[in-house]
Amino acid sequence: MKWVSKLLLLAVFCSANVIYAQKSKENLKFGQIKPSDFDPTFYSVDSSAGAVYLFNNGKSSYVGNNDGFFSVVYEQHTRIRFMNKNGFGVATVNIPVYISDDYQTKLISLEASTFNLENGQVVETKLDKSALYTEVNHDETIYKFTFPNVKEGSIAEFQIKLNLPSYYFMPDWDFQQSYPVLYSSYEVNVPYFFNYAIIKKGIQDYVLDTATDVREQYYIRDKRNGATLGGNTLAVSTQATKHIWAMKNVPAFHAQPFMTSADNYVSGIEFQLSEIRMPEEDVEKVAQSWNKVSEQLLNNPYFGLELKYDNTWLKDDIQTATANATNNLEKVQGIFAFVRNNYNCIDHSSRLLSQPLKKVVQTRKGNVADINMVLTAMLKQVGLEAYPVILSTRHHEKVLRDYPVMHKFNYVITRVVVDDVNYYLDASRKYVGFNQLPEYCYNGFAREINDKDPILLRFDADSLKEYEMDMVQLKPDLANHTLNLSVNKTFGNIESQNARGIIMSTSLDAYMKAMQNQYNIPVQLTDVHADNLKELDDPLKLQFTAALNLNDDKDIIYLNPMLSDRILENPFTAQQRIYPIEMPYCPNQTYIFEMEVPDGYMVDELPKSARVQLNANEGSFEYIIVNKNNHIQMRCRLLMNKANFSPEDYATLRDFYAFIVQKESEQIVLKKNKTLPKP
Amino acid sequence: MELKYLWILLIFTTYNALKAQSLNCNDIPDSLKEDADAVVRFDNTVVTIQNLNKVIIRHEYAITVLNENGNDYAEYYKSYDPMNVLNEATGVLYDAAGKKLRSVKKKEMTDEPYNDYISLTNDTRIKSFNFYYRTYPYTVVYTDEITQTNTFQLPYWKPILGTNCSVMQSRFQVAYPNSKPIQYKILKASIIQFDSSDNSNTKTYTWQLSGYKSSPYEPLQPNRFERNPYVFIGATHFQLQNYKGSMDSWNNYGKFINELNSNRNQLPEVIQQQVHQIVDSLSTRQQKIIALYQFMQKNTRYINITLGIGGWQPYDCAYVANNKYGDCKALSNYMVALLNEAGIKAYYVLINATDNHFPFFHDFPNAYFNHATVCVPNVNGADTLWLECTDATMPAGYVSDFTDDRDALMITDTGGVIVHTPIYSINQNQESRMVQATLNEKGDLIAQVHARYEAQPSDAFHELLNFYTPEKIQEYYNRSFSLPTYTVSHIQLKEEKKVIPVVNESFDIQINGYASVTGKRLFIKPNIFDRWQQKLEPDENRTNNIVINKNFVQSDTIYIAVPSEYEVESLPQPIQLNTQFGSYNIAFSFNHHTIQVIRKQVSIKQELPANTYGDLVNYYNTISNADVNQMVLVKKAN
Repeated sequence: MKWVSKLLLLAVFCSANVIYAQKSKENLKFGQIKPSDFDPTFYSVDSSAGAVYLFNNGKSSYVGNNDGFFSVVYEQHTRIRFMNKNGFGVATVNIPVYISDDYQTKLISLEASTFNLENGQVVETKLDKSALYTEVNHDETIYKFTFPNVKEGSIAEFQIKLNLPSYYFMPDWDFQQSYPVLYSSYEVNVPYFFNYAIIKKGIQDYVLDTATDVREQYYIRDKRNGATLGGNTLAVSTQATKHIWAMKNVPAFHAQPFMTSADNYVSGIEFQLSEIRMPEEDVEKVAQSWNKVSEQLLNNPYFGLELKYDNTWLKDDIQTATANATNNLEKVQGIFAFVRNNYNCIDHSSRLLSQPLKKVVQTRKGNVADINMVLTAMLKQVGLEAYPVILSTRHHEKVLRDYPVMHKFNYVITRVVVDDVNYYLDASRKYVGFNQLPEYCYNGFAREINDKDPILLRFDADSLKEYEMDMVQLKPDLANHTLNLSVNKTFGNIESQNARGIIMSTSLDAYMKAMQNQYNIPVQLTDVHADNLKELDDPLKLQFTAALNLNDDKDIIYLNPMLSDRILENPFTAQQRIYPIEMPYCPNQTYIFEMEVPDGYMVDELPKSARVQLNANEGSFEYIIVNKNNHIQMRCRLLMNKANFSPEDYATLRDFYAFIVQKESEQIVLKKNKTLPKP
Repeated sequence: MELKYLWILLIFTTYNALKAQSLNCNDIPDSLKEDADAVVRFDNTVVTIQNLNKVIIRHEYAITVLNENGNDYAEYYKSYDPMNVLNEATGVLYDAAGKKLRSVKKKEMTDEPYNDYISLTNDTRIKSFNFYYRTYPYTVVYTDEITQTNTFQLPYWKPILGTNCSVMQSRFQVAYPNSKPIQYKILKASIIQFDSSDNSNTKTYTWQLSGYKSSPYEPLQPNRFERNPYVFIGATHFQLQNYKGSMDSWNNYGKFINELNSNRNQLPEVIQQQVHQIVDSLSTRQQKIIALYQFMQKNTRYINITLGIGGWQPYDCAYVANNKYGDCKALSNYMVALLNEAGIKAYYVLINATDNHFPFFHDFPNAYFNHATVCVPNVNGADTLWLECTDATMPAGYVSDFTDDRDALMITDTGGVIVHTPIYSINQNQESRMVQATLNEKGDLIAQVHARYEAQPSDAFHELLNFYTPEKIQEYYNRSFSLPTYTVSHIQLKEEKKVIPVVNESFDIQINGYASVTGKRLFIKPNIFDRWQQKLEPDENRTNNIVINKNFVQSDTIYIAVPSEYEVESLPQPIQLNTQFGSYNIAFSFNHHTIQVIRKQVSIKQELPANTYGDLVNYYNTISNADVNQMVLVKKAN
C-alpha cells in the first residue's frame, strides 16, 4: 500500500505524543444501575410506551490496524427499560454484520445483562454465552440474543464492539427507534486523512452537534508478507475531528399512509467518504463530483464497463427485435419490447449488475440493473444515443440533489435520444409501456450516467398525471323495465399497468366480477370488450353494458349518477399530520354521465352543481349536472396539480376530499309524471 | 448387505423410470391441461427405512408450467436440518419439446437460514432455486435426497401440490425391514392405487395417483386434508436420538412423551416457595389455577428456540424460571409443574394450533403436532380448564380460535388420552350493539355507540386493549370503519377476563356527510356498522363441501333522530330469513322523528354439502344488499 510509506514520513515529523483524555458527558458505565433508576413508572416522552431506551449511545473511531492502514471500531451501548409486556419485543436483539470474502466484520466483544430490583437491591442476570446465537446468511452474519429474566419494569443493557476492517465505511446512526429514546448520542472520530460528507435526516432537533479538533495517535502495524513496515509498529500522531451529535426525548417513529420510505423521516445521520488526504499527496476526491462518479461507474464491471465494448454478440437479438423497423424510433420500440417481453426481472432493487451481460442474455433473467443495462447496450449497439440512468424508488430512500451518495440509489432505467427527443425506458416490468415508468420511480432526483456531463434528472410525482375517463350512458327500455347501461372506460397509464397485471394473472372475467362489486347497485356487466390489453404503449380501454332494474313499478326512482368509481371514504383518516403527504401521482379523472329520463317520469330533484378549488390552483373538483328536456348530463372531474403536500396543508386536503366524498354520494330523484295517464 | 443391495436396486429402477419418461409437453393429455396452470409429469418419492436411526428419502419430480400463473410450482424449496441431512439436490430445465436447456447443482442453489418469524433461532436451513424461465410451456425436474436420522416423524405424501395443478403420475414408495413395521393412513383412498410386495426381509408399499385433473379454488372450501389425497406413514416402533417409543396406540405415544419430558419438571426452590405464597391463602381450586396461570403469564414470555431435539423436547423448568422465557413446550411443562406444586393435577397436551391445521386421526397415532398447551381436567363437576401458555394476556380457560374445537392428545401419567378442546357456541360468541344517533340537515351524523362482545368476537378488542397504546387505538378506530369522513372520540374498552371473556366498548363518532342531501331529500343507510361483506359468485360446478367456520350471533339496535321537518318517503322492506346456514332479520321503522333499525344475524358453524352452495349465495347476497338498504326522507311541504 503506497499510503503506508507516506505515513512513515509523517511519523517522523509528528513524534510528540499528545494524549487527550476523552470524557463524555454521558459517561455511564455498563452495570452502573441504581435502585432509583427503577423509580419512574412512566416517562413523559410517551407515557404509554411498552419500552423506553434510557440511552442509546454509539461511537465510531478510526484505529490503526495490523494490515498497514486504518480500520474503524464501532461501539454501541444501549440501555432499555421495559415498561410492560408490549415492550418485550425489544428484549430480542439482532446485530447484523456484513461479511464477504474481503470484508470480515469482527465482533470483538458483547456484554448483555438484565437488571431487576429485588427487595431494594439491584440484581443482575448476565446473558449466558451459550444463549448468543449466530445466523449465517450469504453476505451477513446475524448475532442474536434475547435478554434473560425480563419482567415488567426490568432494565437491560448491552454493549458491543465491532471491528470494521476497511477505512472507507463509517456506520450510520438512527437516533429515532420504534420505541421512544430518552437520550441518544453518536460520536465519530476521524483522523485528518479522511473527510466525510455528513447527511442528517428527520425532523427532531439536536441537543448536541459539535465538531472539535483533537490530536490523536494511531498505531499501525503491517503483519502481511513483504510489509513496508517490516513488522514494526508505526505511531502516527495527527489532527483528528471529534464529532458528537445527540438528541433527547425522541418519540417512537411510526410510518404513516402516503409516506414514501420511512428512511427519509427517521431521525438519523449518514456518512459518505468524500476525500482521502494523505500527506505529500494530492487530495483524493473519493466521490465528490458526479463526473468522477460517472467515470468510475462507466469503468465498473458491475455497471457500465461493457457499454464501452463493441457487443457484436447481441446482433442476433437485435436483428429479431428490429426486423420490422423502418426508422430509429421503431428500432428503439422493437428493442424495448423485445427486452421487456423476453427477460425476467427477479430483483427490482439494485443499482449494480449481478452478473456479466452475456450471462444475463443467456439466462434471460437478472435484476433491474442487469435488464436495463442489456437494453442500453442493445440500443448503443444499433448506434443510438442511450445511457443508463440511476434513481431510487419510492420505498427506498430519496437521493440528494447534488451529492453522490451511492447506496441511496437502487434502480437503473435507460434514457435514449431519437431525433432529439428523450425517451425514458424501463424494460424490467411486464406491463409497462414504451416511454412509461412505474409509479415507484417517481421519487425525485435521478442521474444519467455518461462520460461527458452526468445530467441531473427529476421524476416527481407532482409531474405524474394519471388521466382517467369514464363515459356512462343510461337509456331506458320501458318494454323490458330496464335502464340500459353502457360504459366506456379509459384507464391512466398506472391503472392500465395494474389492471393488465391482474387480468393476466387471473382473467378479464375475474377482473370484471371484481369491478361489478364496486357498483352501487346490483349489476351484471356484459358484452365486455377490452382494447389495448396487449398494446402496452396505449392506455387500456374497457367497454361493457348492463341492464339495470328500472323499478318502474315505483312512483319515485332514486339514482346516484356515480354508478361506480366513487370515492367512498376519505383517504385522510387521521385528524393531524406531522410528516409531509406524498401521494403517488396527480389524478386527472373525468366521469361523464348521460341519461334519458324514462317516459312517464320527470326530474324531481338533481344534485346541485358545484366547483371547489384546492389552495388556489393546486387542485380542483367540479360536479356539473343539468337537465335539458329530460336529458340529464353530468360531468364530474377531479384534477390535482400536485401530489406532494406539506403537513400544514393536511387539514385543507382532508376537507377537500370530504367535500368530494359527500358530493359524489348525491342522488337524482325521478318522479312519475302524474299529469300523464299511466301506460 | 441385503438392505444395501435393495437400496442400489431402487435407485437404479427409479433412475430408469426417469430416463424413459419423455418431457415433451405435447405428451400431456389435453384434459389435464384444462384449467391448469401446471402439471406434475411425474413425482416419485422413495422412502427407505434402513434402521430406526436412518431413513433415506429420495424425491424426483417433474413439473410442466403451462402459463405465468404456474411459475410458483417451478421453484425448488427444500428445508433441512441436522436431523434431516440433505445429501444432494439437482435441478434441470427443459423446453416445450423436452430438450434439456440447463441444469443446476446443490452448491449453486441459494442456501439460507429458515426464518419462521417467531423463533429466536432454529437450525433449519433452506435450499432454494428458481430458473425464472418464462417461455411456456417449460418443464423443471428436481431431484433430492435426505438422510433422516430418526424415525419419529416420517415424511408424508401430498400428490396434489395446489390448486390449478394437475397430476399425470405421482408415486410414494416405502420400503422397510420386516422387523421394523410401519403403519399408514390414507386420505381419499378411493382415487389412490395401492400395491405391496414382500421379499424375505423387507416389505414395500407403493401408493400411486394418476391422471388427476386440477381443481380450482372455491370459496369456503374445506381445508386441504379434506379435499386432497394424502398418505401418512409412521414407524410403529421408532427412535429419536436415544429415546425409543411406540406409536401403536395413542396411549403408548403418550408414554413416550412422558419419557421425553421426564426430569424436566423440577421447579427451583424459590419458585416452589412463590407457588405456596400465592395459593396457600386462596380457598378454591379455580382461584388457585387462575392465580398460578397469571403468575406464569406475568413471569414469562414466549421465545422459540428450536435446535435439534429441542424441537420435540421442552427446556426444563429451571431454564424457564431463570430466563423467564420459553417456547410452547417449555412454558406448558412449567405451567403443569406450577399447578402440581399446588396439588392441582394438570396435563401437558399436544395439539395442532391455528386454522388450517393437521387433522387428528383416532386410528393413526403420529407425531404431526405443532403446539403444546395445558389442560386442567375437571374434578367434582367443575369445568375443565385450558391454559394457553404462550399468551401473556389471555384469561385462564379461554383458547380463542387458536386451539378451539379439535381433538388433542393429553399426556397423562399412564399415557396419551384423546381430548377435545372447547367449542364456542352461538350462545357464547355474541356481539350486540346499541347506536343512538342524531342526524342534521346537512347529513352529518353524531352517534354514541355501546357494544358488548363475548368470546371470539371479543378477540380483536382484547388485542387492542392489550397490545395497543391509547394513541394507536385512536388511530385504529379512525381508519377501520368504511365511512365517508369521520372522527371517533371517547373510546372506552373494558375487558372482563373470564373463561368466556367479555369486552364492553363505547365511543362517540361524528360522521360528516353520512346522509347525502339532494334538495329537500335526505338519503341515509340507517344500518351504520354491521354490514355483511361476503358476497359470493354463483357456481353451478361447485364440487367442495361448504365450511362455515364460526358460530356467532350479531344483534344491532340503531336509533337515528332526524330533524323534525322530515318525513319518510321511502322505507326499506323488513327481511326475515331462516336457513340451514343461520338466520337474518332486519326491520326499519320511523316514529317520533326517529329511525329505528333492528338487525340480528345468526351464523352456525358447520360443514354442508356442495349442492347447498346456490342457496348460500342467495342468502349471503340478500344479507349484504339488505344491510346497505337506503331510506329516503323528505322535507314536509309547508
